[in-house]
Amino acid sequence: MKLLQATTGPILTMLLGGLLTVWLVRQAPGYGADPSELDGRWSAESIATLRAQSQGHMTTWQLYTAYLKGLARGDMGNSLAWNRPVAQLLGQRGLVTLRSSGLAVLFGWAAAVVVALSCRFRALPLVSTTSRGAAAALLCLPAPAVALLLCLVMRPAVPELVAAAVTGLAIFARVLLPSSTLLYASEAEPHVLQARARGVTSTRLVIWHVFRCAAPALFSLLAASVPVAFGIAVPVETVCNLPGAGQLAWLAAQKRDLPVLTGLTFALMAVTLLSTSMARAWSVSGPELAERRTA
Amino acid sequence: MGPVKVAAAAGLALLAASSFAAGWIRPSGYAVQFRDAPAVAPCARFPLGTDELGRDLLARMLYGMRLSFLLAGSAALVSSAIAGLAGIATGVLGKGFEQVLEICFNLLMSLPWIFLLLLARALLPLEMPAETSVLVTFLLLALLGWAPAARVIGASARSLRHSGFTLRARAEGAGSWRLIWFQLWPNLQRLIGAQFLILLPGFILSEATLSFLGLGVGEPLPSWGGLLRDLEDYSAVAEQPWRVAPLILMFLTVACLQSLSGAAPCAARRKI
Repeated sequence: MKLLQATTGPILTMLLGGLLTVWLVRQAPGYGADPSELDGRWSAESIATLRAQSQGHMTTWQLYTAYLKGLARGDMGNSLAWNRPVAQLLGQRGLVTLRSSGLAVLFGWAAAVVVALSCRFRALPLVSTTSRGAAAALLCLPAPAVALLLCLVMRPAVPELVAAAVTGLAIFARVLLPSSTLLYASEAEPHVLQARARGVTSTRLVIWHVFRCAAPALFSLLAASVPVAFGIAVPVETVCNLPGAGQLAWLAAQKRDLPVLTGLTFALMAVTLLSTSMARAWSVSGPELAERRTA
Repeated sequence: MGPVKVAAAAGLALLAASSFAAGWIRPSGYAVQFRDAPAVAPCARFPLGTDELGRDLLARMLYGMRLSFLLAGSAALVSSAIAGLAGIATGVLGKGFEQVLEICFNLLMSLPWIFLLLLARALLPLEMPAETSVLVTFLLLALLGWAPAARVIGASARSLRHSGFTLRARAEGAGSWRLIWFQLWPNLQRLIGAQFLILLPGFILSEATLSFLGLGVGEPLPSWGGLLRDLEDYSAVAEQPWRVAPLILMFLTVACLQSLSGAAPCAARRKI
């Protein structure tokens, strides 16, 4: 029952989001207009047949149900600009973004947690001040500018690495402060203080007490950094000329490739809602499981 | 207010003053093309040089900053007004309205911000006059950016709804408008102000990103995003480092705003 309640909300949000996207697409100026209609060689009958074949005459609801039926069969439509199945395009480009964003999330999080812990347990005021200053400075710059500056320094020999580095830096900047606060709050818990008083080593203290205590909140924060990573991937992949899903979104927006934009919206909503639902489930069930294990 | 906040406020005032005095500092304007001086290095006549079309970069930078201040400010104002109204409504209208708003929040926040802007912008005509593109860009920011602020204000309004003084006012027969005007609004106005200050730098950065991607403010109007596009040729930037000036100015502006917006939530919490 709990599972049903937890999944209904995100699924309904996704369906509603899809409906809104299709409605927006349907209202977009020029929707359903076929440039071949302007070709004088076509006869009136042929133009009428072309119009009947196109989806321009369909209502939003008809379009949406047709799209959902196709989606159930794994068919997300055909890209107008690339003349290829949208699912194939998303699969290929999504993999590139997944690889670079995955690397970025890993790098950003590892750096933030290591800096937070080392500043706390090894008392490194200079590292603490520098890292916080760097994080604050990164938050004052738009992602494409950071990408350009990195390209200037690194020379874009491997665009995937530059994209991962920029996204990783942006995630580090966004995660450093909240993750430090969470870890410090866990460190002040009574059972952690007691473990420290009993002489538990720093490593053991961090792994078995501090992390365990902060895990649900950290996991929620991690889930929130997934859409952030994609948001940064759009301009960064464009600057670095990396053929990922971010660059696809930009190109599709410029070419008004509406099937690609609808497909991307669905895919992104699914990823975001899945990650937030998982974080919510973990934040609810994590402490319960820990209590049961302790009992 | 600490010394950092005072310095940030002074810096911001200086930047705003210089942007609004752009017509006096560079009377030639941002669109004049000096055909005798295309792509010149900084000199007495052009302190930051000119671009390939011979346009004065200092003038473009100052006018771009003015545009950002005015329009990001207006967009943040509209956004925080929508967020304030939505937040106060959750505090007054109760559960049913809260659930409807929750669906709106989830819809707006289940997509990455830049992608949402790209999607909305792609569905509008791409070729439009520069002045219209400015309005469209900042209207999109205002209409799509209110959800996180509304969530924060809504949470405060909910806690105020159950607070002792509100319950007492209701028990004494105060109606909804009286509750809003005398109980909720005085307690939420600082929080709404704080949300405005938080939204403002975000909108400036979003506009820069959108214009950088070619979907924001159109030429010949100057904008920070448009000026950053000149950095795309990074081999030229190494030879002409003064091209980084708009980026430095933008960094300073956003840093000042971030410092001030850092102070705002503390003040709001103290008030509540």
